[in-house]
Amino acid sequence: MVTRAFLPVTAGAALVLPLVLLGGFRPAPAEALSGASFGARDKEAAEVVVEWVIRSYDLVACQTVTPDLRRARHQHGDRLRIVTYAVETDTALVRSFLRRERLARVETVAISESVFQRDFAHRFPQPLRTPSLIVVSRTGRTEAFDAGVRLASGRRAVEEFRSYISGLLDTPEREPRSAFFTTGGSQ
Amino acid sequence: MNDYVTWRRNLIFRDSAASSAINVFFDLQGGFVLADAGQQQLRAYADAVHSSTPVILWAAGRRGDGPGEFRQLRSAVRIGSDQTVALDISGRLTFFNQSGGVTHTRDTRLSPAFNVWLINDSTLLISGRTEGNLDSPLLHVWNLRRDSVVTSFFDVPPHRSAFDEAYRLSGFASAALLGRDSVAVTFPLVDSLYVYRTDGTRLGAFKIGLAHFRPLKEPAPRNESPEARIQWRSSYTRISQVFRAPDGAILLQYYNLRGVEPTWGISRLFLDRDRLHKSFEVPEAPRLLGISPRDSSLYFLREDYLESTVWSLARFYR
Repeated sequence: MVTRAFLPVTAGAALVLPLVLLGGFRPAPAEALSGASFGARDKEAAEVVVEWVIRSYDLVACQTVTPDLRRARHQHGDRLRIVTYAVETDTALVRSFLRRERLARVETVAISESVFQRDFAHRFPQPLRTPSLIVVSRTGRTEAFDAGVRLASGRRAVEEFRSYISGLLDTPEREPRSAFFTTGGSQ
Repeated sequence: MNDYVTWRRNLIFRDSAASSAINVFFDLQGGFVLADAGQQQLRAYADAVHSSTPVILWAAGRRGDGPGEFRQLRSAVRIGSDQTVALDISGRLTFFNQSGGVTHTRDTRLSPAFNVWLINDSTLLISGRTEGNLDSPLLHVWNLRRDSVVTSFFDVPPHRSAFDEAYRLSGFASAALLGRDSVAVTFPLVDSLYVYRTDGTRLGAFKIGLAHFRPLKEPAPRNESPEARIQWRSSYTRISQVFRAPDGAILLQYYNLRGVEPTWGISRLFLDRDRLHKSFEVPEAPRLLGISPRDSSLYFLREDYLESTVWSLARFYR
């Protein structure tokens, strides 16, 4: 297991108490969450699970990874399963955010800070921060990518995330991301 | 919207970029170009006259700080028949030639920059702040031959100091050329339409009277709770963009937030010398991306389609 390009701690930890007091947060049951993505109820078609771990702060950020997730969803379809783990965050708000970002078929799971600490934060050699993207393949191979796209290091990690998924699913990026190109009418 | 427009057809995109389109401009020779804020790319499509699937012709740009790269691509315009210039939020203009190569870049020092419009082949109108200065005018005329700003105008409208943060967050101007030498201007938090000459001379200001405009009443919350900020941001309206239709109408787009989801409204206005008429206002409409000068088609992004990217083309009944 490898972790990449983690950022400093977000302001998220300071948000826990006010959110709980607001009453919008419904934590998930206490079973181990992450890594159980390929369980009995798993979608047959899913070959890779992307776990997007966020806090409510990320719902008001100027930039997020949603265009990258949308593109990955578009490219890989049901071979990709996306699960949002929302730490101390109202899931209705997360679903509203996903609608705004036009991300379809994304599961949302609310988790408490303690579950985050237990199942996510120390799962990798380096402490996991939010927002992060965790990619789990059917073979159990797991990688984490910084999803804090506002900083250059986070952006690089997101670019790596997309390439990594394409590599796992053996489907190269459909479109060149850099130079000008003429497609001759196909996409 | 159905009372005012006739829906003509849908464009269904094969790629996901069109759902991140923040600005669209139309090539008089055919097709359209969108600024994809997701992948930081300009993407040109042919007119899909005989198909509902637009065909991509070319794409240029990527995320980054180098030539041909963008931190946040904001908008682009075509200059003449062989040059496209794109604006980055950093204020950098990137010039692409007909074959898509980067010919040069220019730093306007207008940052953050939000939008660009073509006044004529040697002049651009740019919305942004001078070197991030919060007191700077919001519109700037950029001379392409001199590579410099020749005039700046449209100050941030007067407001209570308690509202500074909202005015800073929403601090950009939208503009629509009304002719060769005049421009309609809006500021997100003010229910007014301003008219200027492109030399910066103010010609007038008109109260619009949007029925669904919610003025800013509360300053930003002091605590950093995202929920409190979401609630506050849902309390007021922003006018997001102003367009001019080929028939002379001014289309004004605004939005209200419900939680974090925008509800787009649109109003059609006519400016007749010293009077502003409101033709209609629809408080819940699809998001308008642009108006084709070739056939007056309105291009809407259908945000109700989650699985695919769909634009709907419409025309006014009259």
